[in-house]
Amino acid sequence: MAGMSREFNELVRAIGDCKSKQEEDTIVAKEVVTLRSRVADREASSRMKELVMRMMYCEMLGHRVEFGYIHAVNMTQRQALGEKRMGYLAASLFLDGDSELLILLVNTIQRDLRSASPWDMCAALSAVTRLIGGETIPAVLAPVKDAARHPDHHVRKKAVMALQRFMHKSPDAVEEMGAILKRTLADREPSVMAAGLCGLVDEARKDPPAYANLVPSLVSILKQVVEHRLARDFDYHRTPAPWLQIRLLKLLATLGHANQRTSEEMYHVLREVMTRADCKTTIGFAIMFEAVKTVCAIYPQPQLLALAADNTSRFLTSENRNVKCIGIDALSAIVQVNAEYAAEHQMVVIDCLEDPDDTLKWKTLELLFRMTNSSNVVVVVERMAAFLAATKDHHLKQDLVAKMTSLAERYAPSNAWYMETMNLVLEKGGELMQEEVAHNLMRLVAEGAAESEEADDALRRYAAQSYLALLPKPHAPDLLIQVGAWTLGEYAYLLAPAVTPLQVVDVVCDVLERGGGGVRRGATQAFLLSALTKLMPLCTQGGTEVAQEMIEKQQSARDLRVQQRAREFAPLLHRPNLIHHVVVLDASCEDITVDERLPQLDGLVAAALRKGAQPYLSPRHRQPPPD
Amino acid sequence: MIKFLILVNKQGQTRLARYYEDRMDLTADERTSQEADIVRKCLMRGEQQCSFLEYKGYRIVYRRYASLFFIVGTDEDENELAILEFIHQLVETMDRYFESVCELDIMSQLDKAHFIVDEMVVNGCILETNKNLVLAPLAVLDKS
Repeated sequence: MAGMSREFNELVRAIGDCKSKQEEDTIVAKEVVTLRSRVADREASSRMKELVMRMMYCEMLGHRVEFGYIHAVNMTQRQALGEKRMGYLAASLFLDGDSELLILLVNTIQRDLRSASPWDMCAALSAVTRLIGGETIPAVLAPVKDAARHPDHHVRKKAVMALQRFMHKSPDAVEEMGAILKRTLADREPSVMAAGLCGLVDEARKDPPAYANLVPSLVSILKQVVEHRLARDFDYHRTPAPWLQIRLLKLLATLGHANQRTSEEMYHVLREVMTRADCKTTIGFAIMFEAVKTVCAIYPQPQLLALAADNTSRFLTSENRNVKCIGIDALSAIVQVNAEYAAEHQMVVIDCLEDPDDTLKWKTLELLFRMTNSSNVVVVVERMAAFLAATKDHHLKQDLVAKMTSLAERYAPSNAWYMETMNLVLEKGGELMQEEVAHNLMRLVAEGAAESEEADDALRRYAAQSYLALLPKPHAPDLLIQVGAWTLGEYAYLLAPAVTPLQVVDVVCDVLERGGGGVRRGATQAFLLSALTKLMPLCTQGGTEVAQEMIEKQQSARDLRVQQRAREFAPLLHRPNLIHHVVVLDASCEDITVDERLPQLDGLVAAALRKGAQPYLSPRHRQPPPD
Repeated sequence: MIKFLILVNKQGQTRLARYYEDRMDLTADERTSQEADIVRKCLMRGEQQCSFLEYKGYRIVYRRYASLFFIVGTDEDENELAILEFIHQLVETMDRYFESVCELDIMSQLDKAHFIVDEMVVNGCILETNKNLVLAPLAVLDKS
């Protein structure tokens, strides 16, 4: 490569040739050492551009070069455009918003923003969009706003994006942002207008009504674009400015949502976009997809929706895998407006569920989630359960857990099914669930379903049996153990005589002994301990020595909740006549009434007073302490 | 919003990486491991499978050109087909500048490759897709 030293070419060759990550690490580590000495030697200044690029390499490949950052920042001060730009580029890769070197850089940026050369301004503006935020915004706000009116369109475009960056970092950063963006819509350069649209999408989402009056202009712009009124070099393979069309469609979706008047202003252009979209090309489908989403997002018009639904069929029947995949997303959008549209594509949807492509399966699950009702919930949840068991991706699991819980709570055909499903979700994804879900489950078991007492007991027996089987499993999540422990503590007696209380006590002790667990560990152990206390009085045949030892040991547990329970339960264990008052069978739903005056202690108080104790004085009547 | 745009070869070696959000939680080394991990997932997918996948909460869109994977990670707001075609537009733009681009071009002129990407994607948005306008500043740079 011309202009570069032998060292650089060798570096590139070595990195290109290496066969393993370790080899690459060795090469880069050596390069970092080399660079350290190179930046300090006499030749450094004339070779700095190349040295900085080599530093970029090291950082990109995972090795930091902090000693080099200052050189990158200093290079931005040079006059030669190539060096200045390299300096800014490296700075944008090396530094973050907190860097102290940023202060130095801001000075250079301020100078370049006032430069006579639009290219210097552009270099500085690019750096602004990567590095300026929070505290550094005020230092450059005024020149950036000026740059948004600069005669050169490259400068205007970048300045508008810099302003968008400021708004991202600090929502009140630019007072007249709305006005500035509206002005860019009328810019004679399509690229500057496109930049304004980026900011408008953000601002309109914050306050749609404030931008509703832009709809006629946006519609007009979109119309001109699809009718090929932009210069040819804005085409992509004969499609006019597709990404611009898509951004306009997104903006229209926001502005037309739940607003009949603005929606009516856009129906015509949406029809035109969909009609002109070339479904022989992927980019045509991309535009079509965005149009379908927009039609579904805005105030509904039946003919337009029908057109959108028809077009969705073209996705689903396409040979192109990517198009078909997105067709499922399109269908997801449509069924939210009208579930019936999905019916005609049932076979395709079922095929997609069976497809070996995980992404397609995933998107289809998303579609099913939106299509679920009480008649198909069992099948849908079954599919989701299979996915949950198979996936290791934390985010996917979390999403599935939330979806399955939501569907189970909304459409469960029976309590037994609900319980079975929630147990499955608890087992496979318990560490990702909200505690409320566990509480709902316990409440269901406790309160029953207001059917007969036998039915309620049958549900409780079923619950107790399930948890007896689930608790001993090696990686049972905390929430599962909590629900299980509570259920067994309350209702294990229903399992007699097939399962004795002692057997249940043994299982609970094993789980307590096992330890492990995450952030919820303390609460889990507390639940297990409570369960033991409820179960032990039922073990009339003895054999509870191990459990007793465990409770006594837990009196010095690290978690205070566990300690407290252990200290309360331990003395009770030696007073069998008292324990039956504290641990009452099947009374979890009974209210505990407490007389706050504690009349049972009156005798104790009277005796103490007789012996000369001071009577109680309320705070009002107490003497103030001496100063 | 585009969260990142990376070029990684099939051995998992990163050739260009641009991130559009602060990733304070990852060290430089963890970042490169993640880049290699994503490419591995792309490699596991067959010809018959679509060019999209989910990774740690990101939507990934990828395209392979010879030994190099162009990978874009986005949030759920982006149009995946549009990103897919954008990648192609990026490659066509690089093709024009480097006169039929290859991995070595990107390696030996990393700065130029960055300049092209930085003209086209700003603040995680696809900004400029007109090849002439993308390459105009580079022409100025090369002349000076």
